[in-house]
Amino acid sequence: MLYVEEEILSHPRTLQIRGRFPDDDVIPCARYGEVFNRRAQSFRLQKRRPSLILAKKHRNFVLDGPADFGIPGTKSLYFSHMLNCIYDCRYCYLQGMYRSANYVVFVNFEDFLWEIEAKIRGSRGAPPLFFYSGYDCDSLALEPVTRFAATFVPFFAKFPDAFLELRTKSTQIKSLLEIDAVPNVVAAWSFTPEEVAEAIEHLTPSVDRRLRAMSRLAERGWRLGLRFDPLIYDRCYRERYRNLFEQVFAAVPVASLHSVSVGPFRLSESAFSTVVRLYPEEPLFAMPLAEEGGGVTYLRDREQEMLEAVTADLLSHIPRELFVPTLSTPPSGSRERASGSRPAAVADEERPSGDLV
Amino acid sequence: MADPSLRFVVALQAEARPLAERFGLAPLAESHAFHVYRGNRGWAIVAGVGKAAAAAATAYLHLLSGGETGQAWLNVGIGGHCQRPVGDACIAHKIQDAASGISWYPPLVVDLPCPTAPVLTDERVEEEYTAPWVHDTEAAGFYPTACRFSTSELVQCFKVVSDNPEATLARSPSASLVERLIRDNLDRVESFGDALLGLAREVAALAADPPGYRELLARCPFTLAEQRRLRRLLQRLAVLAPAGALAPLLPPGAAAGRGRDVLKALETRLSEIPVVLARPVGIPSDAVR
Repeated sequence: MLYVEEEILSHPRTLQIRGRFPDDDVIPCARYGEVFNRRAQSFRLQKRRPSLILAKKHRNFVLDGPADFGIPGTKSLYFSHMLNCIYDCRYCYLQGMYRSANYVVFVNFEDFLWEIEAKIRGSRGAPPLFFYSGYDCDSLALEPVTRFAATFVPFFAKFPDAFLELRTKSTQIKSLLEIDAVPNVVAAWSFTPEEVAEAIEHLTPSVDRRLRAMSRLAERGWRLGLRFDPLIYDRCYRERYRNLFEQVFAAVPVASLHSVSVGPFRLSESAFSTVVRLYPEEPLFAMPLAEEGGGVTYLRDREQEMLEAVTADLLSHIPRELFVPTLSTPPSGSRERASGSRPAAVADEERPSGDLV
Repeated sequence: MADPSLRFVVALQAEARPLAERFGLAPLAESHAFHVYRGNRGWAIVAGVGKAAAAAATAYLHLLSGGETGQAWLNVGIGGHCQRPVGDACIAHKIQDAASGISWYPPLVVDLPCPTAPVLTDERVEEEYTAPWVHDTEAAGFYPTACRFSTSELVQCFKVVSDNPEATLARSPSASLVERLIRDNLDRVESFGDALLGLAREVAALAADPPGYRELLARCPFTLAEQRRLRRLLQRLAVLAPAGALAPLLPPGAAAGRGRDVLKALETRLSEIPVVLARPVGIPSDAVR
């Protein structure tokens, strides 16, 4: 099913995306919230067969990231051209963050670009702005459909003082291979050890396939990021992460790296309670965890031990200046997200439709 | 919680009869505000024409059938269409109330036995069908009401085209025609209904009590907060140690302890179970499978 807001039925990007799904029924709707935000929806059931919703975003295109989030010395901002992810990683805060598991793609990319440009011009480069696009979705996973990177990356090439991070687990790099590397765009892949990825990162490309994608981009001069986030514990985690690092650094040249980060497993209490309700049978949530400061984490000793051990192993592969600890925990400064409720930007978009049921 | 079952809501007796035969439903002997059928596979209610009647019948059936949430609800009925041939079956991907303009979009997450179409619920039977929608008189009453009792993926509308500009001069199809139209589509209704039941069972399994929960509640006193903790601890135990880890906690014949002691013992037990999330390092994934 392809749901399309009536206002953008003939938008060029809508027509382009519709062309990818010639056999799908197109169902017009007044606002995407009529489909996406209704009560009485099961995220778990919808995840079996999610639909695509094409919509127009009206405001709040770019939002400030929390002060303590991101690359040190930069100001973090994020934007979401898409809501929800085509992958099914059990630890992800997107599990059940929205009532629906359908994917919303906002087709008015140009409005995002206008606001990004205004922010860049307004900042005058101090501190440098770092934009994150993989906050409510995977940045590249739906690239063949949305052409998001193909649109946004050349735009950032015009503003060398600002940075864009494309966060992904995908292998959809064709758009990037078709253009020259843009030095201020970082393509960042997140990883867990391959046995763990098989168990809890459903529908994602294997670690090996992700690494092949990174390797191809490295050959073309792209700057890459590594995000070992979240760190996932099990009895043999140390061996798993050591093996993962061997695998990663055999494929990815250190010289191509922009930054490497690790992040502990952490969900807000309400996000944790939602995900446990969705997947009570998931072993990841059955192990001993601690509720602390509004979040759910590994027990403090275990978390500390993991962070220290994994960081030590990681630093045997990379120079310290590439290492950024805990870049990408769900931003704790963002109260909307940390508390597990829907972010302000989305809530604002959703208001016009209301809950009619 | 009982195994989920199907709840059919239809407008006409002629729509109910073939469903009752196929699904083994018999009319209830006692008198009710609506004609109601019941059997091992579910329930059916004859609402009469109109969205208010459909809404009332849906709520009535919910309560009459035990008031349990998470059942599979299916509105089966006939409708007019300006293009589709008589006998065509379709599943609603959009339902609009013609009077208010409010729309609903039933999430379709199972294999469908027939194409989908938008359904427009009119206040009364229309003489002409201008828009390419299935025109009916009950979906907009049925759908939002049933969504109060189930998640929307389990609430669906199955329509059979009964008349179109070429096929029918009079807009009141005979009972025998209606019955035949439904009968001809019973295989589709059944496969769709079974798929919805599969979803309903998945939802029910999520809400099911973990092993040992009822037994421990019967043997030890727990406060409400402790009951919630007990449920989650037993869920975790079932995941981490599915084979009999509960048994030594409270051996048969042992004196009933305090709830909090049981919770503490469970916490200790859980903390002692080694956490293994994935296949061992070095063992190929196909060897594990």
